Amino acid sequence: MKVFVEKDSRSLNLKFDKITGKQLLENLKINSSTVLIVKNDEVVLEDEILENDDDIKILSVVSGG
Amino acid sequence: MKCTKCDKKAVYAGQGQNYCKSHFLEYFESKVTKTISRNNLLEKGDKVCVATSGGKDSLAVLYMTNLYCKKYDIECFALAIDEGIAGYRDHTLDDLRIFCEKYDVKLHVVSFKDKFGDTLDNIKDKAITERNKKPCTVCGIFRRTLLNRSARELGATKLVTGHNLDDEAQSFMMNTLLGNMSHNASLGPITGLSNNDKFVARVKPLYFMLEKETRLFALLKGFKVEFTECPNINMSFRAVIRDEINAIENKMPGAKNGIVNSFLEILPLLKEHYREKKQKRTFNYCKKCNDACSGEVCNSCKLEEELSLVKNVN
Repeated sequence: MKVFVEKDSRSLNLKFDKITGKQLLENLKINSSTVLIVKNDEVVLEDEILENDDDIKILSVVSGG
Repeated sequence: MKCTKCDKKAVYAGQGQNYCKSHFLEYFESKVTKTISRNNLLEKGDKVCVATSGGKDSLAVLYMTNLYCKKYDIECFALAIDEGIAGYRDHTLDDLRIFCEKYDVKLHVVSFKDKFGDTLDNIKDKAITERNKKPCTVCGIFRRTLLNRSARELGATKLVTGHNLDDEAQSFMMNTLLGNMSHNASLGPITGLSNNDKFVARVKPLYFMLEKETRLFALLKGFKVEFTECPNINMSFRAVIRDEINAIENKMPGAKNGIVNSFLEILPLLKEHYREKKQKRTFNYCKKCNDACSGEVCNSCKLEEELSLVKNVN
């Protein structure tokens, strides 16, 4: 599963069979109220099941100064 | 999870509802429009200046304000302040120029370098080492001064900013923790306590929108916004408070709304209390720039003097 974390500009290659968005964020220690999850170019909610061949972006909602 | 209003897949869950893409956009636009109309933020005859940086909040508020102004035949333009922060402001200004061209909005750009003689990147080291002032303090004073002064010179009657509910919750908590209750009296959808010809009234159409909602709106509308964070943010008190409030919101969804709604209940009392105190003293006008201020010299001119900034005379 390719995961791009926007805030740190880091790309990860993770191996999960199936995981929810919420579990992924917990795994990465990211606060869900500060991000949007994009799966294969579509915004999804935390309850979305993410699979190994998905392309995931975790976009930060906190920005600016 | 499905949208509360239709069978489509939800892209947002919040405020007790789930929304698909189109119903989320409808919710966002409706809520912002109601904020403007119920609070009389923008009225016929106004000349509206939208303070905009090119970030997600200011593009969202520029889009919504432009939409509202076109509908009600109100004049509107955009104003951007270039502080001179390399690798940050230059990127957001590029995005802004593209946006203004696409949505046919006139854009004015005013820079620290032109008005104060140097960029924030150059000023900040001196501010920290010689004057023990954080970059955010310098930036905040100069930016607010330039926004007000430029909006006034351009004939604006209202100055729109992209402050959202997260910003307001943070400001309230920061002022409260610092014992600055009088500053809280100046917050709200319309900022300020006193009327003076030198101040352009500031209004916040995104006042009731969460930062997450604004980011999602910008994303779904296809605004070109990349993640950008000011490189000086790690020195700011606001960043500490922001992270704490977000941690609380994660454990207690709705906490941010709770903070702002509670604040709005006491705001009329705060305004009444501090307005009475303010009316007992008259405005002074800065002997250097003639802006309204509480002392002989305004904070901006004092800071310029402290930092020995030399204005370019063109």
